[in-house]
Amino acid sequence: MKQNIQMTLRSALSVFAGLFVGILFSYLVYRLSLPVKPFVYVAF
Amino acid sequence: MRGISHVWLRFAFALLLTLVATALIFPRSVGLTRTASLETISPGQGLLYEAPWPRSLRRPSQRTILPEEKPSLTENGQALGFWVSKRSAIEQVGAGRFRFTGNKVQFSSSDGTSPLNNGRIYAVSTGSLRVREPLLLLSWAITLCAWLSLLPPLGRTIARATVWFLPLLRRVFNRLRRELYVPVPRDPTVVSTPLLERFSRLLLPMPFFSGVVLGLLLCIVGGHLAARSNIYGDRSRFFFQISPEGYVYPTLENLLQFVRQKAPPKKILVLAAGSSISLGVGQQDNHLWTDLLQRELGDVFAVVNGSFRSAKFTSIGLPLLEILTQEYPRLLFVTESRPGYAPEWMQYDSRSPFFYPYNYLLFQAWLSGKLLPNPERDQELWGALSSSDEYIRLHAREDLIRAVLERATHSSDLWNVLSYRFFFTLFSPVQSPALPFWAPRKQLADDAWAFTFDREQLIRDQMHQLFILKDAYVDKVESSENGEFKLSAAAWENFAAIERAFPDRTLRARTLFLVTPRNPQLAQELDPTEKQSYEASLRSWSETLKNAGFQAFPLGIDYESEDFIDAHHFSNRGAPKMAADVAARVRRMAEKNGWTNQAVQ
Repeated sequence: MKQNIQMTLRSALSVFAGLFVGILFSYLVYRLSLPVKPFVYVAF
Repeated sequence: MRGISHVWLRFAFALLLTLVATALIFPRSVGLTRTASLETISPGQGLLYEAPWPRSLRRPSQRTILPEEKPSLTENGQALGFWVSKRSAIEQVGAGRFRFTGNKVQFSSSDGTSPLNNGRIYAVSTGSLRVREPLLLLSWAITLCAWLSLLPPLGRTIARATVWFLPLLRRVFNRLRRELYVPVPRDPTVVSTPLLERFSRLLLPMPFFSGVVLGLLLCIVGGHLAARSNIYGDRSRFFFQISPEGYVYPTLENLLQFVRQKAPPKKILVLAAGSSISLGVGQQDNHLWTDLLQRELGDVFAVVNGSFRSAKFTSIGLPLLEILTQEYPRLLFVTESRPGYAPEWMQYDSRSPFFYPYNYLLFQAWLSGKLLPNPERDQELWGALSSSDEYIRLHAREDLIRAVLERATHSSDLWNVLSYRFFFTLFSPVQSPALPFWAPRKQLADDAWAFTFDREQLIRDQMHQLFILKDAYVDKVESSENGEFKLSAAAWENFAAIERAFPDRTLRARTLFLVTPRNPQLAQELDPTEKQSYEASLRSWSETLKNAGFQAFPLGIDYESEDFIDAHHFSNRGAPKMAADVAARVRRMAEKNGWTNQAVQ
């Protein structure tokens, strides 16, 4: 019984850690696709 | 004690040698400077002025191995702008740029005024010592030897210090190793395990990777939903903090939703999508010309401002027009134009210091498959992806990858929503004034631009602005023998490029070009012939566009100085005039198409 609860908790923890990494990955895709050079307005 | 003082003496000697060697190689860095003012200054092209190198000053000696000490140029004792290598930068941009070439000094004043009559003294400063390169190399070799001879006693000192520090370092290192990085202990007798290790052993591989996939899928679904929401619906325009200047890059979907939510399909959509003039730079958000245009036109029309600063219609306006024409049967497109100018499809220029940030939107539109057929554009885009110019090729590929990733993951759609509504995550050191780092963009006011006309600034900048006016307007027409003006050959070439950008003639009939002038205060400075050419360029360009099936008119040619905030942006005072002038044309276009009778309020 105790082992089952432990396994369930570990599975839940693993899923949440994975979720965090997945969201982080999405953020990285967004962040890495932005230009490195900032846009500074120059009037001609 | 005696040994230590001996080491210190040697150290001081090495330091002294370093100072002497530095003074020899860069005399100005230690105050050994000679200065002489420029005489017989003569005007060059644009903002450039020339003067011979001062006779009383020797030119710095040429060096092949060691770096050269560059002379500096001062204006009334203040160091001038930048040392540049290109003559064109001095001619066109000015602002204190200068260079030394041959026996000449080529420079510009800091504020565009003429050095011939601004009463300022321009002086060149060089180092007062002129040592030949072999001697300099010798001095540095001696200095190096002095430092090298110090190494053994220095090593002994370090060794003594290490005896003190080593146990402490070892303790810190062991602690870090235990906490952060220890290989999985296979020995069952090991009792204590570090936190990270214990955590990682708790994780189960399958649920973890399922979580990663689920997290990504959730973000993608969230991105899809975000793409359907109208993030910036509470704003009238893409002002500083929600545009690339404020480190926000709206996606194509963001722009489309912005238009869709503001304009129900039953209304006649008036899409103003140009650059800073259409954006209303110089107008407060409660004096914005597109809002006034909406008031002028009434509820039958829906006016949307989809402009961005410095944007070319080829990147944003035209793709939006092509996509939205398929949804809005009654759509009018308003954008700016100036005589003889046609933007390219993509703006990749390695020589320009200006970074153009909107190419990604054209790639997103291209990938969406919703653009109308235009073989020339396809050819240009494919050409950029395989260009022999590395700068163009790499940037185009980067923008394409960015568009592909966005299409697959909708990550920008998602994080743009989060950054607007909840928290912002990007820091830009160039933002001025500095923006609050975490603050969601919805909390920021649309107040970043100047809203009052600074006549003094325009006067200070007059030389530069007159150069632009002549180059971009006056030179675009040629007068014929019978006194009539006609467009120059270069202007005709660019006109043909505009025609090719709109192969579909129905799009031309829906497009209104605002041919924009410069502040009349500048036009007053032109001589009568130049002024005639300037006005003729605005009229001829409008007529030429109209003859090709577009709608066009010279906007603001009769406005006053105060209707502008600077050389070409319209002010709060100019906004109602702008709205009234555009409204008259828009109404006429709608009537001509027979739309006003069909519109449902």
